[in-house]
Amino acid sequence: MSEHLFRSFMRMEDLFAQLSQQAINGLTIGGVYALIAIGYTMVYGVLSMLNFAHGELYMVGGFIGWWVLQLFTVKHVPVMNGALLISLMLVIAMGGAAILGVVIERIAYRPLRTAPRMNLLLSSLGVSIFIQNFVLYFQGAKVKVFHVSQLIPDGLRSFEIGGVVVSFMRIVVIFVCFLLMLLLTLTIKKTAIGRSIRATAQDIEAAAFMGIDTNRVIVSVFVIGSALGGAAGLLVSLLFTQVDYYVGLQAGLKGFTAAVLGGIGSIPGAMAGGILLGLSEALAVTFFPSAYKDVVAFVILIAILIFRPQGLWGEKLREKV
Amino acid sequence: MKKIALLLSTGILLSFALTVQANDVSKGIHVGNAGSFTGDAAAPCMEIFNSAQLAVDEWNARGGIQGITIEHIMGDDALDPAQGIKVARKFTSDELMYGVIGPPVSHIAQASIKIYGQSDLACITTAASKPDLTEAGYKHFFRVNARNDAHGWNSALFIKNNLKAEKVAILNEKVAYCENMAQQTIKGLEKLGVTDIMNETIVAGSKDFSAVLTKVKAFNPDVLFFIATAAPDQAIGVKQAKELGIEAIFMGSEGGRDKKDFIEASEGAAQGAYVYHFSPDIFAIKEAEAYVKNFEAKYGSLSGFGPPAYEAMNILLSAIDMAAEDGDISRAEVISSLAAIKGYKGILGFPISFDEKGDLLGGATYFFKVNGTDFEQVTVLTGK
Amino acid sequence: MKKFSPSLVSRPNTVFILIFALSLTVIPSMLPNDYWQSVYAITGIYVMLALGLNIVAGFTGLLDLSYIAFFGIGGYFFAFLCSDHFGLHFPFLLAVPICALVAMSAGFLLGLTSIRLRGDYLAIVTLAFAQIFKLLLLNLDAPLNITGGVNGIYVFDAIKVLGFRILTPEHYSTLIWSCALLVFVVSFKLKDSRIGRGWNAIREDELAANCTGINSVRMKLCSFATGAMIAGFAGAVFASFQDSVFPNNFDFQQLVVVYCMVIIGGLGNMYGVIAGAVVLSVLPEVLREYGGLRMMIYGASLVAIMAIRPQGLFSAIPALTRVVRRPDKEETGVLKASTDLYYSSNETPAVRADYSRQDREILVLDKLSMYFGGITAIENLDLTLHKHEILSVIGPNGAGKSTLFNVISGIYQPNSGTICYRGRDISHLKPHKVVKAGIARTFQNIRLFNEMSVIENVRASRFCRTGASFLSIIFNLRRHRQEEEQTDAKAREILAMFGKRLTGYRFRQNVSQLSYANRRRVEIARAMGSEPEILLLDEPSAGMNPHETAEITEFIKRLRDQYGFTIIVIEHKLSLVKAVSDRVIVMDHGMKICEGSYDEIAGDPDVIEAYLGKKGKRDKTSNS
Repeated sequence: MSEHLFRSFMRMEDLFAQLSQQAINGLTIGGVYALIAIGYTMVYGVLSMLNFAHGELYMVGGFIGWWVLQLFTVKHVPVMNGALLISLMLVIAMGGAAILGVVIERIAYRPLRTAPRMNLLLSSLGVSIFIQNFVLYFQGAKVKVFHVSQLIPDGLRSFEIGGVVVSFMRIVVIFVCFLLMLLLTLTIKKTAIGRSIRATAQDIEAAAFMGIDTNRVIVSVFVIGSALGGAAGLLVSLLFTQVDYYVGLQAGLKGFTAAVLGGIGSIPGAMAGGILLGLSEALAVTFFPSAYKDVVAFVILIAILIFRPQGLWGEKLREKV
Repeated sequence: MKKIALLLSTGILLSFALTVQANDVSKGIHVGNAGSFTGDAAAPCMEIFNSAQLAVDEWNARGGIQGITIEHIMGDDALDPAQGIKVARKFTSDELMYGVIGPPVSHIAQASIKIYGQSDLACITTAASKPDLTEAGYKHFFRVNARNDAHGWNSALFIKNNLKAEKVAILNEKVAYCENMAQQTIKGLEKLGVTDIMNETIVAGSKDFSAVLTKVKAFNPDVLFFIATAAPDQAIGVKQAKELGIEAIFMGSEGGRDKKDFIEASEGAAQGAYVYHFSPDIFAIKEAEAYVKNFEAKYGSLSGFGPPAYEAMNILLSAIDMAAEDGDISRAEVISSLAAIKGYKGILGFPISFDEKGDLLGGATYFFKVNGTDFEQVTVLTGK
Repeated sequence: MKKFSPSLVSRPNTVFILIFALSLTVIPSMLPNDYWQSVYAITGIYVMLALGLNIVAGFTGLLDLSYIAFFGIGGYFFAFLCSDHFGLHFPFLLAVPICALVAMSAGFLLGLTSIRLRGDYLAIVTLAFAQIFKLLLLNLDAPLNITGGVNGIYVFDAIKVLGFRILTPEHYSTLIWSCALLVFVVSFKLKDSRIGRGWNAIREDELAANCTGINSVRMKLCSFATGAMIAGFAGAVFASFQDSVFPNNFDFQQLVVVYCMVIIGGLGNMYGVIAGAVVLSVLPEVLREYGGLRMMIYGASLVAIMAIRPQGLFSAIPALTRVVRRPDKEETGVLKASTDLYYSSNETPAVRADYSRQDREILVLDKLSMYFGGITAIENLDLTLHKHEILSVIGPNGAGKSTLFNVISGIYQPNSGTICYRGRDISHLKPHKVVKAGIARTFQNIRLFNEMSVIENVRASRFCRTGASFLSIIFNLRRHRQEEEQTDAKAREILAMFGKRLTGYRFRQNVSQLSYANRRRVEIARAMGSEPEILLLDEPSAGMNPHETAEITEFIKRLRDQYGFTIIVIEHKLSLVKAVSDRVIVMDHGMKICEGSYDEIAGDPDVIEAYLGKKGKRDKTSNS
C-alpha cells in the first residue's frame, strides 16, 4: 500500500490533474446515483418502504432508450437531429419507466399497504427478480450496444483543459442530471402536487384527513421516482454505451446507499448523497487499490450512520411516547 | 446396532449400484450442459449452450447415435458454486447421462470436478482455463481451450518482444480466470525483466472504468492489458481509455475477439488494439462457415465462446458414438474413447488431441490486431 | 391450576417430532439417488439457517441483513481449521463449535456497533457490513492469502463423527438433519423462556419492553449473537458438505432466499419457517431445467404470495397450530348464554391486610426540569411520595403530566434536578433499571405486546425478577424450571386479581382481541408483574364507560388497600381522583400550581383558572 501511495504522489501537478479528472468522473456518476437515490427516498418518504425493485426501472430505462435508438437510426446514423433524438429517448425512457413504476405499485405494493413492512420489502424483491429475468428471457443476456458517436457533432466529442479530459456526453449527462434535479425541486416546492407529497410524507393519515387523495400522491411519487430512475438508466447507457439485464442490481444498491447517506426521506439529501458517493468512490480509487473501492464507500456509509443515524441531511426522529 | 447394520447395508448397496454402469444404449442418451445461464455470466454461457445445441441437433438430424435421439439437458448454476455442485449431483445421478459440456467458469469447475470424477462422468470444458483443474490427476476432465499459464507466458512474450513495452498496466476482472491470467502474465513479464507493472482490478458489468483508468493514465504505461471475460466490457475499456487520452497500446483478452461486441461496439476506439485468442479467427475458417451461418441465423451474433462449445459437443458425441458401437455403453468407456481421440478436425482450425492430463495438446496463443472492422492475425506464439 | 397447564405450556407437536425423526432415519435412504440426497442435505442446511434467522427477524423483529455473513464466517473458519489451507486439521466435533463461537463473537461485535439503530437503519448498516464482508472474502488473498480470494478454499478433511465416517450425501443428510433437529430444539426452548418472551416483547414494542423491565440492548445483542451462532454452525456443516467455500456462497442473493423462507413460512412461526425452507429449497430444483423461466416464476410467486397471504404461506394451518377454544362460544361462533358460567372460579386470591398511607417518604423529586428545545415541559418541580400513598396528578392537556412519568420511568433524562427513590438517585437510570429498582408504569395510549397472549404479556414482566441464563434454559436446568413455575404462578395470581375478566380461556387469547377496558387491565397487570413498590398509572380510566370506571376506581383502591402498592395516578376523571386520592397535585405549564387533599384543591382559584381559564383572559390576549 505504501508503494501505492508513493506512486500516486510522485508529482504534485500530476496528482492535481488526476484528482480533477477523478472529480469529473465522480460528478458524472454521482449525478446518476443522485437520480436513482431520489426514487428510493421519495418512496420511502411516503410509504416507509425500501423499494428494491427501483434498480430495475433504471435498467428498463436503458432498454427503452436502446429500442428508441434502433427505431430512429439507420446503420447507426440517426434520421433526425442528434439533440432531438437524445431528448426523445429521454422522454420515452422516462415515460416508460414511470408507467412500469405505477404498474408495480398497483400490483405488488398496494395490496400490501397494511401488511408488515418486511412483506413489502420481500414483494419488492420478488418484483426485482421477476423484471430482471423477464428481460433476460425476452431480450437475451447479451449486452445492447448504443451507437451514439453519430449523435454528437464531430468537433465536439471531447474537450481537454490542462490535462483534464471531458467528453461531450459527460457534459450532457451532468447537465441533464442537474436540470432534472432542479425541475424536481421546483415541483416539490411550488406546485400543488408537490405540497401534497410533502404533506403525505410528513404524516400519511393526517394528510388523508385533510382531504389529500393519498393514493394519488403515492402514484405520483412512483411516477416521479420511476421516471428519474429511467432517466438515470438512459443517461448511463448513453455515456457508457451499453445496457444489459443485470445493470439494475448494482445501480440500485448504489442509489440506495446514496439515499441513506443523505438521509433517507430527504430529497436534497438524496441529491447530495449521490454526488458525495460518486466523488468518494472516484477519489478512493486514487488512493487505494481499486478492489477496495466499494469497501471505502460502505465504510463511509457505516461511519455516518453510526455517528449520525438520520444520515447527513435527514431529520432527527424522536419517538412519540 | 440395527442402525449401523442398516447404514452398512445401504452403503454396500449404493456402492454396488455405482459399479454397475454398463447400460443398453436403447434406453436413451443424455448429455449435460453445466453453466451459469442466469446471473452475471449468462451471455457467454448461453452462447455455449446454443452452440452445443446446434451440434446435438445436427447429430439428431443425422439419426442420433445408434438411432437413439440425443437429449441435451441444461444445468443452471447461476454462477454459484453451491448450485454448481447440485448440478453435478443431478447429472451424475442421471443414469443415462454419458458426458457433460462445461462447467465453463473456473471456480465452479473447481467446486464440482470431484463429484463428476467420483462417478466417472466425462466433462469437456470449453472455457475454464485455470491450470490447477487438470493438475489434480483426474481422468474424466478434458478441455479444448489452452491453459492460462501458456497464454500468460505467450502474452508476456508478445508484450515484451512484439509491443516493445517496458511499463505495463494490467487490469483484470475479479474472477478466477481473469485474475489467474493476470498473475501468469505478470510472472512471465517479470521473468522477461519487465518489472514496472501496475495491477488493478475492475468489477465486470459496472460499465464505468473511468476512475481506475484515470489512475492508469497517471501511471502512463506503454501497454494496457485489459483482462475481462466478456467482449462488451473490453469495448467499454478501450473506449474510456481513448476518451481519457491514454496513449498506451490497448490489448484485450480472449473474449475481446468479437467483431460485433468489441470492434463495432467501441465505435472506432478499438482501432489498432490487440487481442489474444486460443484459436484462429472463426470467421476466416472454411470448415466453420456452416456453423457460423446456422448459429447467426438461429441465435444472433457470435463471439468467441460458441465455436469451442460446438467443437466440444461434437467430440463428446463422437466419443459416445464410439463407446456405443457394441450396443451397450458405460461412462468409463466414454472417458477412454475421449482420451483416445487424436487429431480431431473440426471447425477451430487446428487438430484436437488431449494429453494424459486431459489438456489440449499443443495449444497455441494467437494474437490479433484490430484493423478497420476486422481482426488481422499478427502472430502465433507457442511458448518460445 | 393443573386444569389449564396442558394447554399453556407449549411443547413441540408430537407429529412434528415424529416427522423430524423420520427425516433423520428413513428419508435419506428412501431418496432415489445422490442428487436428491444432496438436495435433501442442503434443505437441512437451509432449515437451520431459516430457524436461526427466525430468532433474529421473527422472534426479535430485527431486520438483520448481515445474517448471511455469519454463515460465511462459519464456513470459512471451517475451511481454515480443517484443510491444507493453513495446514490445520481439527477434528470435526471440535471445529464446528469453534466456528459457531467465532461467528457468535463476530455477531456480538457487529451488534455492539449497530444494535442501537432502529428498524431500517439497522437493516442498512448490516447490509453494508455484509457487502464489506463479501468484498473482504474476495480480496484478502493478497498480500497474504487468507480467504483464497475468488478461488475460494477447497478440499477439506474427510470427517468422522463418533466413529462414523461421513462420506456420501446420504450420510451427510443424517448428520445435517440431526443438527437441524438440535437447532429446532434450542429455538423451541428459547422461545418458551424468559429470553424468548423478552425478544417477543421487543419485537412488539421496544419502549414498552424497556418499561416492563427488559434490557432491550442486551436482549437484542443476545438475539443477534444467537442467530450468528446458529448461522456459523450451519456454515461449518455446509462447508464440510460442499467440500469447498467460495465468496458467492455467502452473497446477498443467498440472504434473500433465507429471508423468503422465513417470511413465507410466517415470521416467528417455527413450523412454518421449516416448511418454507423445505418448499423453497426443493422448488428451484424442480424448475432447474427451465433456466431463465425458473427465476421469473420464483419472482412472480413471491409477489403473489405476499399479496394473497401476507402473514406467510404456512401460518395458521390447523394441524400445526393449536386453535384457542373459547368456552363462551359455540362451535359456530355464537355466544353462549352466560359467559360467567365458563370462567374458572377457584383462583380468587386471599385477601391480605389493610394498608394505608404512612409518613415514610420513598420517592422525592427535587427541582426537576425538562425542556424540549425551547419548550418547557416541566419546570422546577418538587414532589414527595409516601409509602402506601395514592397520589393523583391532574392538570389540563399539555401540563407536563405524562412527561413527568416519562422522566421518572427513565425514558427522558431530566435537564436538571434529581429523582431520589429510597435515597438513591435514579434520575439517570435506563427505563429497565427503574423497573428493576421498583417503579413500574402504564401508558396513556395502551402499549401492550399485541401479538402475545394475555398471560405472556404478564409473564414477560417477570423478566427483571428472573435470571436464568442461556445455558440454563437450553439444558432445562433447575433454576430455569423453578423460575418458569414461579413466573407462571405469579402471572396467574395477578390476572386473578381482576376477577374473572382475564382468566380462564383468556390466558391464551392475543391481547389485540381484547376489549379496550380489558387491555387497560392487562397493562396494569403487566406493570404489577415486576412486583414494583410504586405503580405509575397514566389515565387508567381513559376510554372506559361509567360502569367500568367505577370498577377500575375500586380496583385502584384495592391495589393499595389490599396489595400495598404505592401509586401515582394521572387522571382527568375527577370522580376517580376524588375516590382514590390521599393527595392531589395540580400541574399547569410544567409547574405544580397546587397541592393538597381533593377537597382543598377543588376550591383553589388557581386550579379553576388552569382548567377553565381566567375570566377576561381571552380578551386580554386578543387585545395585545
